[in-house]
Amino acid sequence: MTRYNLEDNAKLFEAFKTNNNRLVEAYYLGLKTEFIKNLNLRYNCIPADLLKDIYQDAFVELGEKIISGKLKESDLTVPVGAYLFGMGKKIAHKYVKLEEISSDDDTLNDICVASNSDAYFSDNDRELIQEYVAKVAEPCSTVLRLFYFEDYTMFGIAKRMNYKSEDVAKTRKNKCMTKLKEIIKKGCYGQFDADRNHR
Amino acid sequence: MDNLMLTETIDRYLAGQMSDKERQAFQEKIEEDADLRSEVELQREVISAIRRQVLRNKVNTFEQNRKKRTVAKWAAYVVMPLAVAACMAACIVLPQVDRVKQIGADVSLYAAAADDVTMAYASLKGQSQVSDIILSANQLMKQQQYAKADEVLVKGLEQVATITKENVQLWYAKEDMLYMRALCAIKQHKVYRSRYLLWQVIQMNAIHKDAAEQLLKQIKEGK
Repeated sequence: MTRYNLEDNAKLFEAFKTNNNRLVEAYYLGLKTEFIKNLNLRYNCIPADLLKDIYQDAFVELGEKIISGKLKESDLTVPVGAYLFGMGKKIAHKYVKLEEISSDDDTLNDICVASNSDAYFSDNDRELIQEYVAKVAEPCSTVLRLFYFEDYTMFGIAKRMNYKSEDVAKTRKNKCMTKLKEIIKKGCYGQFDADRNHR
Repeated sequence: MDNLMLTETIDRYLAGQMSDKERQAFQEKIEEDADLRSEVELQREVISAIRRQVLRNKVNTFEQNRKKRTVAKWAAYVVMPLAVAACMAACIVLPQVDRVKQIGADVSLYAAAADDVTMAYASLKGQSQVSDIILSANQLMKQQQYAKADEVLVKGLEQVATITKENVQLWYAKEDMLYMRALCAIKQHKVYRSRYLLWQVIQMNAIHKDAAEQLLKQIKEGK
């Protein structure tokens, strides 16, 4: 975490928001080694390959928070590497907790990562939703990506996808999202209910 | 309001594109209507999931780029000198190949025998508790009672917690139980748990390693 300081926070935020792949890649690779080394020191019961997966999960989660505006640069009072490590510990803790491996990681609750306890969906629900999203086929996959990730306007989507007009693009986007929600509800509804009753 | 209109309205609400008046009215509706709140929260989560999916694809591309760069670097500085050294070493290594093949054959024979759970564990003399646990978990899994099977397997694993590779039979029994737990987790859609258990199976490097790797790959690809 020592290589990066608070100034890097602004650069990484900018890189995510402007979809600057080269800079995001540089930070992804730059933060990786130390993250895995430190996580391994803390949770040596977790296999090395799984540590890499945890790093990827944490980085993806960080990117999503920045892009969606859930995490603002002003919220971050520590270097991004430290924040990312905090997220990694939370994810690692899921594995550790699940397997009831003893952990004396008292600092886990003190880390800077906001708690997820008030989230509407449980981790399990979120994973199920993620699975459905991963299976979305073309052209919905591209339309949803352009609109929700790359901030394309309807005009831009119509042009990129060779649709006749902005209205066609808008209808397509709404149909894709509505259909996806219906599929998720059909597939997961019972499970969501069951989980919610437990909370 | 039809479903398409509702999706569009929620999009505008989540993106902060409503006027103050419109947003306030919509928020009141959400507070009064649990179904509407559920719809808004689902759409919010789906949008997050779409972003995570795109980011995950990007991260995978970063990893591939890194591997390509590493391979190019190795090819230039390491592979060539190593190739020369390998040619020289071949005359030492070749006599050992037959022995490796023999070990491989032994492992295959054991793996074939262990395929039949009943037969394999009937031979566990003095370890009947472990074999009973596996057979009972197997039975519960057949009845699709995965949570119960998992509980049984956890107890079984406690009994073999300290077993090392030297105790071959119990080592394989331990691996079997971990693999069965992973299958139970998959059946219960416990993604994190199944990934963790499959990694443990792979680390044990025994009978179910290939199957576990295959399953893990499928889980990662979201199949």
